[in-house]
Amino acid sequence: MNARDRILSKVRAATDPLPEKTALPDLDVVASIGSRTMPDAGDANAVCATFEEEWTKVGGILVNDESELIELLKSLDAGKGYADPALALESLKGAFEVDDIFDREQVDTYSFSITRATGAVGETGTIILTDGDTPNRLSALAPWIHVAVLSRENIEATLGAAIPTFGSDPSVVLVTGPSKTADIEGILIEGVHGPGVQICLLV
Amino acid sequence: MAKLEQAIDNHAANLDEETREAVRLASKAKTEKRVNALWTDFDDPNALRKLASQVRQHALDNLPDYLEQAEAAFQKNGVQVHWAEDGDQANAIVLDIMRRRGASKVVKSKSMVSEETELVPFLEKHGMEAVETDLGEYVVQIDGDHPSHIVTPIIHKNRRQVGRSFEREGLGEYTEDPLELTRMARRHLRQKYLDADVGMTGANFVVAESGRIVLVTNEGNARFSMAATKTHIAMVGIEKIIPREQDVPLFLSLLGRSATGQPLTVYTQFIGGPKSASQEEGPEEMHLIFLDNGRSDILASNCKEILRCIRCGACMNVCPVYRQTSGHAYRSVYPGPVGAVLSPLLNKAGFPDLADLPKASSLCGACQEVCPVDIPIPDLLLRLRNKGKQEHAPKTSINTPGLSFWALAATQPAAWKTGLKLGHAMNVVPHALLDVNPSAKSWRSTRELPPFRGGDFRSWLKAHEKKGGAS
Ligand code: SF4
Repeated sequence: MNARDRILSKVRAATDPLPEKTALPDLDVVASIGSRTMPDAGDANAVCATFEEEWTKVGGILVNDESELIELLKSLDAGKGYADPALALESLKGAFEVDDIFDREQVDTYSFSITRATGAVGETGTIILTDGDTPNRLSALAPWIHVAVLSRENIEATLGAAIPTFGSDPSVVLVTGPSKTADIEGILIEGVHGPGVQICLLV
Repeated sequence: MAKLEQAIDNHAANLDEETREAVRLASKAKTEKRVNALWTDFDDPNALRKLASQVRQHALDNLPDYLEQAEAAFQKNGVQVHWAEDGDQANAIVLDIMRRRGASKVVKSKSMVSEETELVPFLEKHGMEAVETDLGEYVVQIDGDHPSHIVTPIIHKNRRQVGRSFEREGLGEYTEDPLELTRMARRHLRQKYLDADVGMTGANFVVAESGRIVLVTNEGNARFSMAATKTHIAMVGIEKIIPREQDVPLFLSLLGRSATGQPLTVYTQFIGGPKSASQEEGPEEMHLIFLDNGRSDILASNCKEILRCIRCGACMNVCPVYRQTSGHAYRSVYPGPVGAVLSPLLNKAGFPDLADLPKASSLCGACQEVCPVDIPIPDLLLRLRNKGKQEHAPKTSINTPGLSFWALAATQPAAWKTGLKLGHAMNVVPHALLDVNPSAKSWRSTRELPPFRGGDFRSWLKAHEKKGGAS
């Protein structure tokens, strides 16, 4: 017997004699758990409004078009950036130096990056990044400022509703605000390993 | 004398004021955050706890089937699955993968399971560079210290201590500004990620149905190690199973709120396999190590409910004993109420060595009340005290005045009466005389005996009866 079989047989020996096994709660019962911020899934405007509110609450910044984004980046003293070439942000390229290849040898030369969000969750103010829609994982993580471009249509009311959209993507990352820590004396600091400024551009 | 003292009491007695205050304040603040988050967001958070408890218990009752289902689902996703009966086997598997990949550097995100197997010292001994990337864990590593809390590893340290450590390690000039300290760590660890070959993680949940692990961090360190390296190794306890992907939101809701008062932790990752073909960065190989290390024995014991634990830390934050003693007092990887149950059961050196921990509780029940999976921790502590007695573990009896006197007195009325009379003597006899009995001495070293006021009922009743019973 190898380690696997020995472990499994011990686990079987522990559970087989149980006179009764705890039942698995029905999916609808588990899925019916919603917090007070859960929007009505049938009302697209409400879902979007909740997302905007919750995203702001967790420290995310919201912009509604490219020119607003350019102003914001300027106010943050942004220098060179990276943008996913699929996004075709023409006026942005006029205002900043923007690479369309993310060079891992120079991670710290990018002050911002712009990538696509696959979706979002209204209830928790969360954007969803996937391998499929992010050509380079480092690009969405290493620069101080990260901008996720999110289509309003792709916002789901709850995480439970978003899960089926994950498909078979091997790396789904839910991002709820800027990277943070409270390890030192419980004091909240934003921007630990990931972005210190997390922006969502709604389109 | 010394051998009869409770190690946890000694630790608490010798704890410096600064640490005690830091631990007390931080745990109190976290307890309040948890309560606010749960009761603001839900009408009945207790219903969530019961439901989560049921899902976890179901998974444990059917663990063999779910483990097999999970194994198949991971393999289908291109994940290489390994099994380890104990910590040594698990560490050897990691080393073997690294050697095969020609790897020499690993960046590690926080995982209690690898603390259990002592993976980092093991890898270092074999010439590998292993760097902790969670800010708190990094400080613990450079200080040669141990985490004292499962969510907040350096709850026992203050900013000045961190500042001195960073200065010593050459991260920058001394500062006590937490913001500047965090920036120093960011700069330093960034290069470590980029240079590393392997990203090592644990998992918060293992989804049997989809073959994905769910991993949460606030700092983004697990995400970074999976963006910068070419190999991902996840080491997980066999008990971490969640049956369905749709069960995950319930657990994430409870975990974030119970641990830090957040509805959702900042980075919540669903990982099922190596990077996709079009992806420029990230692991080409993913390995999952299922670790037993005593869990199957616990599953067969009368303490199996402890395996429901999702490591949120709420029980230690609320525990009056933890707040006074801090985590190191538990002499093990898992402190607090969960540790008082889990640590003696998982202990490499055997149960008796930590048999005193189940006694480090007033059984006030606060831990069960906050536990997101409703683990009856006070009951489990009692079962372990009993186990200690049955197995004659000396540490179970430390500080417990023997009950034989009481048993004698309670079964013989004459002895009982004499005892009550003697009670009055206690008020005039110096209490130091009690110290002839070692356990009485140890008990008394931390307590004051109140003046004896009992024993008058019998004489009162006699006089009362003589008077004819009129009141
Ligand atoms: S025992 Fe319960 S409260 Fe304590 S860490 Fe585990 S899940 Fe959290």
